[in-house]
Amino acid sequence: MANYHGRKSLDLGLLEIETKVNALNLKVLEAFKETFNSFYEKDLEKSKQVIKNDIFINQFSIEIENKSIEVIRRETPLASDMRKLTSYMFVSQELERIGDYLSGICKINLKIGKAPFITKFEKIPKMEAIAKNMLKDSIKLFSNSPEEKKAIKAAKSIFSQDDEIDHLNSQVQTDLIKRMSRDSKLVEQGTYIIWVAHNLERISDRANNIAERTIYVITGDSGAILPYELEE
Amino acid sequence: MINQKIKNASKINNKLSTPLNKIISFEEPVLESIDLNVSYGKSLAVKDVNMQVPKNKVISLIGPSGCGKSTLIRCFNRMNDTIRIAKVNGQILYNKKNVNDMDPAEVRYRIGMVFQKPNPFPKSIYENVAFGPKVNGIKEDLDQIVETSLKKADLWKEVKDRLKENAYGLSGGQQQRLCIARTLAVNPEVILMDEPCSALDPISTDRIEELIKDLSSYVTIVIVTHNMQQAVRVSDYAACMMAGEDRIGELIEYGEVDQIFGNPKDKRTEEYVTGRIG
Repeated sequence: MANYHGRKSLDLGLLEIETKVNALNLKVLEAFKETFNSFYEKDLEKSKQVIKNDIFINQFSIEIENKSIEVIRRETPLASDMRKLTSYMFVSQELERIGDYLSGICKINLKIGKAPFITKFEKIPKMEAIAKNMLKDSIKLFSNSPEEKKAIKAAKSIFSQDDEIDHLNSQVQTDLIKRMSRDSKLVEQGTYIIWVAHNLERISDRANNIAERTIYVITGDSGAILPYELEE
Repeated sequence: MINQKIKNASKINNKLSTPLNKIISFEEPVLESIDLNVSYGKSLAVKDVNMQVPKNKVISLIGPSGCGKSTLIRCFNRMNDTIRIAKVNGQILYNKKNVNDMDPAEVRYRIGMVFQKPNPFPKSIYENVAFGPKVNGIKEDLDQIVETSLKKADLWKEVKDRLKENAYGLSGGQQQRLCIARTLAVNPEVILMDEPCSALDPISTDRIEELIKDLSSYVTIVIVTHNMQQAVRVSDYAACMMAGEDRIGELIEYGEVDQIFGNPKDKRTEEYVTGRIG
């Protein structure tokens, strides 16, 4: 500490918020795991629990926003401090939205109920693994904040996973629509499963946003934010 | 889609490999310092400052205490001439003319100055504003000049009925606006301000800042400030000075204000604006 020349109060504020963002991320990852365990196992009670727990994710996100506003008001940060603080708010909102998508999947699970699945689930577990991986990678990138070249390399790898998930999502849609058009009994559950895939695709987009935001925090150049693109 | 993203990412890579240009220049600067070195006695205070000031813009000079900001702006209107031990090497150009080849009095009314502490003359409000024009031999339309200058300095409404009263009766903020009116009375092209708000309360500070923004449509303003938020609020460009271990001040970065306070290129500027040094 002898060589510490920082702004103690600002640095402590930043550290506190960063810790909260990491804790929020852990909550979201936990919800991720529970959502898909309950989905495949048809554990409706567990799904209900995930939906109920989403409120804690929302509260956490609000707490991060409030704390960030408090630190901005108190410390009037500039340059990289300001970029970090605004990004904490941004990232916590992205995590909160991911929580909503997971809770959405659990609601779908309740709608499907105990009825047997109409599919063997080949692509959705792949999408799930990729989305979870992207989320882990993007938060790791955000927390570690490596030097620019490394960060861009890591971001590129996250974006490439996003393309894969987009591809799988459209495959799920095509397959199920084809089957539903042949057999109307499949329409209800087929539509629900298309929504599950859609939610996973949206989760990957949010993870992408976190990676893009990290590049902005590191380079300080809003032009360096890679364009957010949906389907081409 | 991924190819487009990778292309964009490699654009960043290319941009990073180009050398960082940390000092900007302008086509027709109103003021320019070329290889400026200033020493007090035997010790060098400021070295190798090359800086251009664009016309009708507000430029903030920032940096820790003792980095040479005041020394630099005092060179612009030859105020360092008044300090016996100060020695200025290099050139200061005002509209491409070396200020040393000009009459110092002319330099100082073309390039006016406002200081940290308001310093009105111990005279009436009217006499304070009329002083400059009178010294320059203007005898007619003095009333008009006083009124216009006080209006430009946003002080007229408050003092129009008490012009004969002593300036010392005004509040600190009013005195500072009076000093600005006194400077404006001789139609300067540039006004140098050395921490003009540091002795004022927030309301008076706000009024001076509004005034600076209004004046910048026809006057160039160079302002030394320790208040980062003030620099962000009022200026178009910001220049950061810093003294190393040798305690000699240098210009380390100069750019648009959003860049300096949003994403400084020099690590020392980043450390200064985020409050890690200074």
